[in-house]
Amino acid sequence: MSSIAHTADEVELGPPIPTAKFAIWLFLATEVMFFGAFIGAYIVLRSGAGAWPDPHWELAPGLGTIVDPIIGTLNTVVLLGSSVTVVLAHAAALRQQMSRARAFIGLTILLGLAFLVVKYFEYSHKIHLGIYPGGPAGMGSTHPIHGHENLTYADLTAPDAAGNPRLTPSSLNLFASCYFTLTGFHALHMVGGILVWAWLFLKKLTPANERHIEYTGLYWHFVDIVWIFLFPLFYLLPTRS
Amino acid sequence: MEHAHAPVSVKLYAVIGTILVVGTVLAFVFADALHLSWGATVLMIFGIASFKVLLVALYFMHLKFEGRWKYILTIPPLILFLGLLLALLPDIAGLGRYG
Repeated sequence: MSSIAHTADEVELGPPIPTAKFAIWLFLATEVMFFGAFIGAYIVLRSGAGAWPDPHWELAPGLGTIVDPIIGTLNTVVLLGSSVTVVLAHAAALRQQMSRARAFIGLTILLGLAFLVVKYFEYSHKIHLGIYPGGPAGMGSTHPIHGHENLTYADLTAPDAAGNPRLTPSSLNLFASCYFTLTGFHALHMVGGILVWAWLFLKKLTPANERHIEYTGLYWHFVDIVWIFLFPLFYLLPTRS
Repeated sequence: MEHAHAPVSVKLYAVIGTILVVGTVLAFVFADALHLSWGATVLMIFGIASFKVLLVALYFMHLKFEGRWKYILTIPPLILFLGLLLALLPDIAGLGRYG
């Protein structure tokens, strides 16, 4: 048997980037399909729905809108801010300023947590109003809403002042399914990202961790990109009249 | 393997971050304050969202500075996503059967 000598250059295959970076991008490609399928389903369902809750309609007197565009805007700014702190952490790591990088990672965690806290209050508001998959609002229940005894869940889908029907219980249920599925998976992805950031924050960072910051950052930016599309889809897009 | 880095500029990151925030506020204004037609609102808010995504991908994810390998990993899933959407839309969109 003859032996064939190879140099490192001769046997090097694949894209000209580190394997771990290639793996992260490959993972993100699968994530595009994951969120793409859900976002595609949402667009198709909303386009096909006869009624849909507009983000600017008051559900019933004193109950506010189904989502708050101002809160959504502020939360988007918070998430975008966390993407800025990520690139600043990476820039600091490249300059081997590891304590500075650590500070920016800490800031990223705080901004990520702030985003999730706002989400918690938004979820609580909807659940309180019975707007969740299979919830009483989506079933047209005539039971009074807790804390608003003069209103029933069915009032959320009552006709407007002119007597025109705006919503149906099934459209509210469909909205709830889409909203909680998409924003819920997004929030879970954020939790995963925060856990990795927390690991980096707690360990003693060395210049060798620069790659970890870069790869975690790629994931974090992707999660940010998903939200950049979810924000107008849920908080801004008006219902077609 | 050699680990090449994108040129890093804190000033550039600050500018991109500011544009992203301004874009977000503008999208809110177009949807909430300016009473445009439905089509114009959709065009503006998703136009701004697409521009923001482009900025994040190009500068924060460094795709602007990466080699041609980036096309292999980013274009196929985008084609599949658009294909999925275009294949499903004629099925139920516009029928209003959930009303």
